[in-house]
Amino acid sequence: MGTRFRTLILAVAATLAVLVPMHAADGQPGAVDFEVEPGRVEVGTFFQGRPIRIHGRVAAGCDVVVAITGGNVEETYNRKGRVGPLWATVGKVTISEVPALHLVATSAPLSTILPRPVIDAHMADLDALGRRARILPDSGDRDLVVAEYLALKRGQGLVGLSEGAVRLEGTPGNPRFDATLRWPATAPIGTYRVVVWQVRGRVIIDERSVALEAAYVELPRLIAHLAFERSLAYGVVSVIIAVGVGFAMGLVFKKGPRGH
Amino acid sequence: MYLFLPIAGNAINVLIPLGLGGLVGFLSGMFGVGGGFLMTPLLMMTGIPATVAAASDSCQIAAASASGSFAHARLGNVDYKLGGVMLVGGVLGGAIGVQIIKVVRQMGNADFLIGLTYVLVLGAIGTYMFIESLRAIRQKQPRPAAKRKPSRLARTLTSLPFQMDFAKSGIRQSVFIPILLCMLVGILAAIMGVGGGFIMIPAMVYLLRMPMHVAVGTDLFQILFTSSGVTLMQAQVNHTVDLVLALVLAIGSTIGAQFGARVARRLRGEQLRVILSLIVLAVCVKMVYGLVAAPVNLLSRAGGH
Repeated sequence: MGTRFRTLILAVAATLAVLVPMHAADGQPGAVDFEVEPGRVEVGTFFQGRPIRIHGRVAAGCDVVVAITGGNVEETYNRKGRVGPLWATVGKVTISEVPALHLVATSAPLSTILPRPVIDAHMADLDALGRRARILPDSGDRDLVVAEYLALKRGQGLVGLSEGAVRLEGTPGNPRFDATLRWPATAPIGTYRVVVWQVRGRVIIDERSVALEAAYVELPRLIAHLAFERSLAYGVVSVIIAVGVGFAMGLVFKKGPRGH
Repeated sequence: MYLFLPIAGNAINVLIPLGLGGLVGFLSGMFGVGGGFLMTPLLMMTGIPATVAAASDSCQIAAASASGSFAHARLGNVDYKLGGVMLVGGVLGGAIGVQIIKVVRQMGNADFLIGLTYVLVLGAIGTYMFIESLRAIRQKQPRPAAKRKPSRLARTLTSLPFQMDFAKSGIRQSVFIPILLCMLVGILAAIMGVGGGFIMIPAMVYLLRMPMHVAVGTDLFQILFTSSGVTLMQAQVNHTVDLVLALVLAIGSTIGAQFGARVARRLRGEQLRVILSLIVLAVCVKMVYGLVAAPVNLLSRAGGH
């Protein structure tokens, strides 16, 4: 009975946590107002990831959580296990219903500003992300698979939680926040969401989001277009260029001062 | 300076593929091996997905083998006639190997079979080549060939039909021998996901009795065509050829291949074989370690070998 009651309370709290921001955002004074710089991530020839600055006004006395998230993916992985004394691929596991990119920054330790059900409902930390993930087939060791998956994604810079990375600044009459998150070069192109939650008294009082597009430009755009839209021509061009470079280098060495 | 690789979906410091290309190209020019057995694992260590690493590597092998075979052709080390015959066997073997790997994959645990094949083939070839070439180096005066009694295998080979002269290689063989040999190598190469030069060179030297330098030049000539075909298929079917990555690798490898070919000319055949056998054994040890040691992460992106 006690467990059921606690589950009911948590469910109500999570529902309220989701619903409250909708009301708080309806033109109330103190609603969060922010900008994202740059407004579009251009993935060009020399792109190696870039900082994304999210800054704006916030109500006095509030904490702030910012997130860049989106691009739900379904990925299949080989899973290794022991076969006698050897390590070998023992099966495949498909992981879905998780964002391709999920970077979160907060103005204070997350557990001190939001209760667990709200963190889970908003997928605000990596534990919540892991709980949301759908893993098939279910081999009975979900926690291990999730931990390995998150370690892999964290290593690629695709998921992360930076507690305390949001700076609260400005004056008492004009409180502001400022955060910089690192957009990794490994993030696939697509449209993402930048979300800002304004938190007071362990409740999200306002939530705002804007879209952030990541797109190829310059050489990556041309190559991706050719490789996926005109693959045969791309293959032929690749071979011609490769063989041409090989012969050209051969000629350079033949004519060079140290040539035979 | 970083370059963004659109097909790999990652950025890489340009010095890394340039350096890796130079190193592998040097070996390619020196030994005639395409370098697939080295380059693909090295690229994967830099964060390039396995499928993109393998496909882009075949593209750079096309460039390196073009440069290397050009250099060897100038030195008179290419047997075009034998290279053409070998190409027929290699293409047939590759096609059969692709079907075998498809069946094994459906049965499950193909990676395990590939790993074991790697270890067994590399271990056997590396050990044999190392012992044989050391013995050759220790012999102060090579035994005259005329005094050697032909082995039963050699007598069987010379009695086969469709004998053909390969003047550049200085051998007379039944046309079936290089074709069957290349078919076998093609099957193994397809299973192991590499070009097969490190199997082919020892086979040409020990079974076909070709001079080491001609074996290297002829194998590079053959690899030029097979790697071009693989690149074309990978680009069309799997969309995994990253031309930016391949070109940077190619620039490094074509320069390296030129130096490799020159160094190879200064070394004796048995010296080349000792070095190649040590590299083959080192890769074999690395494969054994990969099979025995606990992986850093239990998950790896599916696709490719």
